[in-house]
Amino acid sequence: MAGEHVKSELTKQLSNFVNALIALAPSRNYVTQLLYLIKINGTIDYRILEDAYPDIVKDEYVRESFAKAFGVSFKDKVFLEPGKYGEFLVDFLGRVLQLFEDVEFRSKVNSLLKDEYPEGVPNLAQEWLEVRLKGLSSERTYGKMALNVLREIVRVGRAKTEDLEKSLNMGRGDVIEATNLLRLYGLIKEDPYGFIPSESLKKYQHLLEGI
Amino acid sequence: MGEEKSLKDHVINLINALINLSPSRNIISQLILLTPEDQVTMSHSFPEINIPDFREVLKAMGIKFGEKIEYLKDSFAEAVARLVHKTFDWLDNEYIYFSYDYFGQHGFFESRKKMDDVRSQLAKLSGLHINLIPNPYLEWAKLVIRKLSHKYGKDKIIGLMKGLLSQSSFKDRDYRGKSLQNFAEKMGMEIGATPAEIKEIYELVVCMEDASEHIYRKGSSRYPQGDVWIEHSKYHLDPLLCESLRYLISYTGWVFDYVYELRHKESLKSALEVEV
Repeated sequence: MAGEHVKSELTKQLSNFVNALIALAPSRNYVTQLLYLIKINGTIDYRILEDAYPDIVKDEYVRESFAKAFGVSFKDKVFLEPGKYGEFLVDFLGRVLQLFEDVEFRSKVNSLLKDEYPEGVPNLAQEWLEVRLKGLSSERTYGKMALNVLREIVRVGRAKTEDLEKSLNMGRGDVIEATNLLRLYGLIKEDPYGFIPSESLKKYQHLLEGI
Repeated sequence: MGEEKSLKDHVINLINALINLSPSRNIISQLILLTPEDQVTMSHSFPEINIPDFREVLKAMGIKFGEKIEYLKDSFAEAVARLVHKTFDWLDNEYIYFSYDYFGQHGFFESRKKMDDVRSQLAKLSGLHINLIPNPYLEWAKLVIRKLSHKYGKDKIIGLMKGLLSQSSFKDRDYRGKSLQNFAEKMGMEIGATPAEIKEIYELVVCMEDASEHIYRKGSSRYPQGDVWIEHSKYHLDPLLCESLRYLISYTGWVFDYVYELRHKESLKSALEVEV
């Protein structure tokens, strides 16, 4: 039978481990958030990131340090350089999100860390979606419009640009801007038949209602 | 997306999170790193695994309990082991990557490179002094060398590591690693270890048989130009990188040389200095 001392030391160690994983999540860290968004998109226009992450992208000194430390190429298109640490790290972050989405893992951790997490350890995949939805809604120019487009895509399951124009009574230019924004946040995907909600949005649709 | 903390805070938080996942700071990563290992040894080193609730958490991360404790392929535990290795390299300016470089009329060439300026860039981003950026590899190397020095004696462990660090590289004409075997035998005699003992120590800190991690193939599968492996040791100090180099000999055809280069040299030297 393991002693009380072993158990309390273990709780401390598990708590450090879990807290470290949580701290890496893109919903909690600005650096991993930017890296993860680049991963979701493959490449992002430099101009867009300059607006969204000015404190990393605008200052040449910071931008260069960031590029060298993580392996990010900041040209007209911004992308993760293949084989470098940034690319590896975002793959790991994907695994962290998966792990914390697993009900079984969370319930087992909760049984040991109930004092620290009285409401349970967070579902980081859901949290990341929430952060993106909130980020989207606070976008000054196209945020509200993009949310309406997103709601419509979720409602019908799949929609083309022209469908969205008709059903929301919007101009083509606005629909394009809105869908670009939704793609940037990884909230929709495009296939040959139109736009569809991302997997995480399909799972946690109820979050849209709270926005 | 609604940020209040400064970029510096986020960089520091990220570094701290990675450090807290390193085996010198956390027994879960340590346990993952030291698998596969038999149950009895693991229960002795990590009595925590006898707590049923904890065992369940480990199982949920993909650790399998049987006669041996090991992690499953593609499990989260495997991802943690990979993260530990990559972060060791990254924060010790040893992260390896491969790139195609264009040499005008000579075309493109693949080359092995290192992210060798990471610490200084992180110091700029975080506002910390470079020496305050933790180095998980160095921390781990110090722990391992101290632990093994207690078990086998300082002279043997430090003698072997110093002998290794005095080499610039090892070269072989085939994959069997004869030059490494010769080195281990010679060092065994110098430090006064029996053949069985030197084999054991060598596997703990230098490299184990059948534990090479293939990290890159140069050329294509049809026209291979050589391969690159990281040689793993039981305690994952992993000081050797092996690269095979293909060349043509007119009377035998294509052959490969195997060159072993030393990695983490500076950190290993620092770890030894502390122990001396």
